[in-house]
Amino acid sequence: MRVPPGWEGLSDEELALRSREEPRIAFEVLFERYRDRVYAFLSRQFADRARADDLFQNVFLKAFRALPRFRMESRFKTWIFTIASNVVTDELRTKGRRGTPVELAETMAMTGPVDPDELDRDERLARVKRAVAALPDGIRQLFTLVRFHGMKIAEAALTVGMTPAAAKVALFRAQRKVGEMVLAKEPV
Amino acid sequence: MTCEETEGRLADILAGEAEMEPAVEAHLEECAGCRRDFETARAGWKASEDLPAPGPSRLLLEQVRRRIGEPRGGFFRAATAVAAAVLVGLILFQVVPPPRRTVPPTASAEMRSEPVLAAFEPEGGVGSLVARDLEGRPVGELSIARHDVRVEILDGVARTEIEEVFVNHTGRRLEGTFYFPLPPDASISRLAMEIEGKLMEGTVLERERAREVYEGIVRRLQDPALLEWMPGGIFKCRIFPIEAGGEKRIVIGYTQALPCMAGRMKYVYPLASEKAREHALGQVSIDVAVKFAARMKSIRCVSHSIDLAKKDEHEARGRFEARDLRPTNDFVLDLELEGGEEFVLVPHKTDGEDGYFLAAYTPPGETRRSKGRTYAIVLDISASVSKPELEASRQVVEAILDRIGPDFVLLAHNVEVRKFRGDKRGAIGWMGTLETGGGCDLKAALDAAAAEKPDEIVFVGEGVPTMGDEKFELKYDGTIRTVAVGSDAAAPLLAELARKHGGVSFAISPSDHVRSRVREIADGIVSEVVRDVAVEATQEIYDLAPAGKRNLLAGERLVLTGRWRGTAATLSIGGREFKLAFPVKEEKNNHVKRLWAQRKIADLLADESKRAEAIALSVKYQIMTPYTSFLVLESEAAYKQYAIRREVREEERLLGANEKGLEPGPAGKWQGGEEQRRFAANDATVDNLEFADSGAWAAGADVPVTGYLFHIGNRRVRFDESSTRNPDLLFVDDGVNAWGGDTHAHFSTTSGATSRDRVYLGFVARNTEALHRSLAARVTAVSGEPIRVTIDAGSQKGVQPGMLFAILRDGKFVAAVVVREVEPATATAAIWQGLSLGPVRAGDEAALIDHPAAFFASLPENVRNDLASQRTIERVGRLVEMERSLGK
Repeated sequence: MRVPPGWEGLSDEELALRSREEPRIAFEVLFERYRDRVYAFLSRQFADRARADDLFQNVFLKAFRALPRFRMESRFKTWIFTIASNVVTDELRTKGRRGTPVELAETMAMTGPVDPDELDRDERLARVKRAVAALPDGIRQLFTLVRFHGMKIAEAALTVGMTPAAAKVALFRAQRKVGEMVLAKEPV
Repeated sequence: MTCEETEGRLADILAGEAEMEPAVEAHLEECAGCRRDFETARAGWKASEDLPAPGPSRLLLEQVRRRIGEPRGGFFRAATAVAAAVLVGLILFQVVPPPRRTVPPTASAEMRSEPVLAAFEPEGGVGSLVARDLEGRPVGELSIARHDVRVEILDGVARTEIEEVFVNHTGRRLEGTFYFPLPPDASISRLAMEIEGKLMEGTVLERERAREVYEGIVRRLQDPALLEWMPGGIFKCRIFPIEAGGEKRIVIGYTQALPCMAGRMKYVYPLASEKAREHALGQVSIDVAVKFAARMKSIRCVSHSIDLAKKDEHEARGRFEARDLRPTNDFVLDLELEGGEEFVLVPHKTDGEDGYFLAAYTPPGETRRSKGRTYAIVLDISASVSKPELEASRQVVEAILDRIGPDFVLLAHNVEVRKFRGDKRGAIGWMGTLETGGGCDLKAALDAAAAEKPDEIVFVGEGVPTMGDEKFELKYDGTIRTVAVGSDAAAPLLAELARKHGGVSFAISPSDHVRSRVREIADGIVSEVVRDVAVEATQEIYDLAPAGKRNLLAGERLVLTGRWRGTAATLSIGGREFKLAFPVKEEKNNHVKRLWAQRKIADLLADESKRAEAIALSVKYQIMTPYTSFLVLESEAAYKQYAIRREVREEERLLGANEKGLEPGPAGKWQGGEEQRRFAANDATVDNLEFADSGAWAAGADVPVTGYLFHIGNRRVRFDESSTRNPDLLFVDDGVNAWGGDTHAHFSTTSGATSRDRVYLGFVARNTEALHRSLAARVTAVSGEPIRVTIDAGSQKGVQPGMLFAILRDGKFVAAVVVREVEPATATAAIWQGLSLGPVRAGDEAALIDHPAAFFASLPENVRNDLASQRTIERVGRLVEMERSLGK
């Protein structure tokens, strides 16, 4: 798709407006902007990469078809992540948590805290990854959006369908849970 | 504070959305569990900081792009599926600079496009003001309280002025972005915006300079507006502030030359594009005034029921009005001129410069050809053709098939060429099966068409070569006509292709009024062509625009513009000579000057080496281009402060302003508050001109209006304080001072205005600069704590509590004070919120700060840095402006 000069300089919302006239060009620019972020979000919800690939296509096909109806009532970023969140929720509801390493997380060996700085980076990240995977579905999405996608808590709450107050408490507990796993003396 | 409340606060703190606060600290001191949880959560939050995530594979990205390119459930045909899959992957990553039109195009035989405003279909968005609050939260589009359109068509040059009043129904102050699409052959000629109750006119500046000024001000106070050209002929204008519960008035004007075929022309105002709005348009009006030097055979509004009164064979007027309208169709006027071969000359000349002229001529010829010709119709189905573009292309081909005989072949091409032979019904069915995909090999497609040896080739599509040769010579002796589809089509390439092969080129976009445009194009495709129409002139004529030879459709009206010197010249069009006699002076017909400038700029912009010249003309004639922008500042003083020269708009000249934009009268100057008014039509002397006032005047609350000035026909009639009652102008109910809102006023004139006279109305304002100079005073005493400053301005008229004065010493800023009390001889003031650099002393100068926003912005940077924080300055500026606008 040829992207004419000047289109890259448009804001997300301006591109959404332009999509009513030039859907494919507008979409191409938005796709370039959000593809990595959306994929990162999806891959953090599922260990199975093939599943993330399928959902990635679904998210952008849905977004492309719905783009002309985007009414500017939220930021585009919130809008696209809401689609992604809905796709993930639907997937989990219909097909279950096939392939998600949830079973790894529920039993943690809390033999005492360690200093996370002393942990090998790979080990630390592996623990974080397992901890995030172990979070309940909606909370994991919330945690991912705030931690890795720069969303405000209230905005992320809107995206995953929670009230801001509930989201804050849930987020704190998710932070604590990740911390517990990182600080555990024995790897879990 | 409970543990749960604390958890919520701690989430905010860890996410960086809040600072630690005493209440939370106190709870953590008391509650060991929460303290431990916080440490654990903090460790978890920190550890997850750089958790990597994989990216999508290239194959996955290609899959998504390919699926986006398919219709729902559709797939490429098996024969091309493999090739297309590979090529799409390659081509989609290639960014080819499209040979798109980036200049304000003019109507010409080579490039035509319907004058349509719509660009966002079907969801609306035309003229939409999208708003967000100060924290960046979107609030959607604002509703429209009023939508007034004024259309003036003079000799086929249409000037459309749209005034929209947006309403902020929220309780928050908003920032808006106004989106406005421009008809393809139009140029923006006016932008005005209401600021603090005053309609401020914008000015065209070089794009970089405009942005520099705009951003400089926005960083401080965010009061200006900037209108810039966006890709695809969309304009974006940022607006601030739109006050809570308030309204914002925006005026945009554009000019376009209406194409004319066989004496017929059409004007379209795309009212229907508003139909998708959630709320009906509160109040809608469309005023139409049409005037031709040539004789008009007929004029009718085919879309709406309006009373179009034809005054004589040269002039007509009409008005459409509605309330709570949800438009379902566009506003369309059909006009027909008499005498197809008539040559019309419209001159314009003011003292001190060479003249401008418009010459219109329709060469003779049959408009329809016989059905005996053979055609090869080429349809572009390459990947970059969007679904709406493909649909528009299909409609064009279908309409062409409807007008030609049975000898045709239809070709669809991307990287390969497929052919259809058969009857028309079969051809339409075949087109329905086509899907887009692959690259565009234009030469291969045209070679395949030429191999069919048709009398004519018709190319329909984008025509951007992404495969094969981009520059090529075609071995074909017949005629080629082209239809450029979509805003990214290779319009110049297709136009040149048509010109070289004796044809003409058309343009259509899915955002156009497709159905009627398709009919026009199809009619044009089957019309005879008058080839290589050359325009020559004697030396008194120069700067013809557009320049060069052209092919014309038989029956097409050629509209030329140019400059002249002297009193006579000879113009030759297609070998026919016309003797022109020019007047010594002709101050009317300003539209001729504007159209010439618009076309000249378009010609210059086509040559990159002449861009600087184009920009200079753009600024001089106030015509916006991709390299210039409209800038609206909050006051004339602000323009002066940034050394921005204000060019006088033609409407101001109509009102009698001189080149400096000032009315040289003893009472003051023009403020640009003119409005054109319709008056009750009588064929005899008009003795009761009725003005239906449309609302706010340009004079803000702080501009002392001292009189009104009417421009009736060629006469100017003044009514002001000093004359009390002009003998030429008698007010029936002295309604001048009562005007505003929806009130009506009546006045009579004894000076014999006729129904053909156009009436303009302006107001005379006292020179506000002089007024403010008179408010310069001196500090007479300083006392008390907090400091009270006594100034000797109390005896001056106009000093009021709330006014802001700058205290100056040796011309340098010392402090800002606000007047608290006004006494007979003095006024006392207090320093405003610590805005001082040092002690105020008796003897210091005190000067009224007329526009705080501009004033603080104008202070040297080091002074601003030494003053209170930038935020304080902004707040003060805004508070004062708000108080003033509220009349407090």
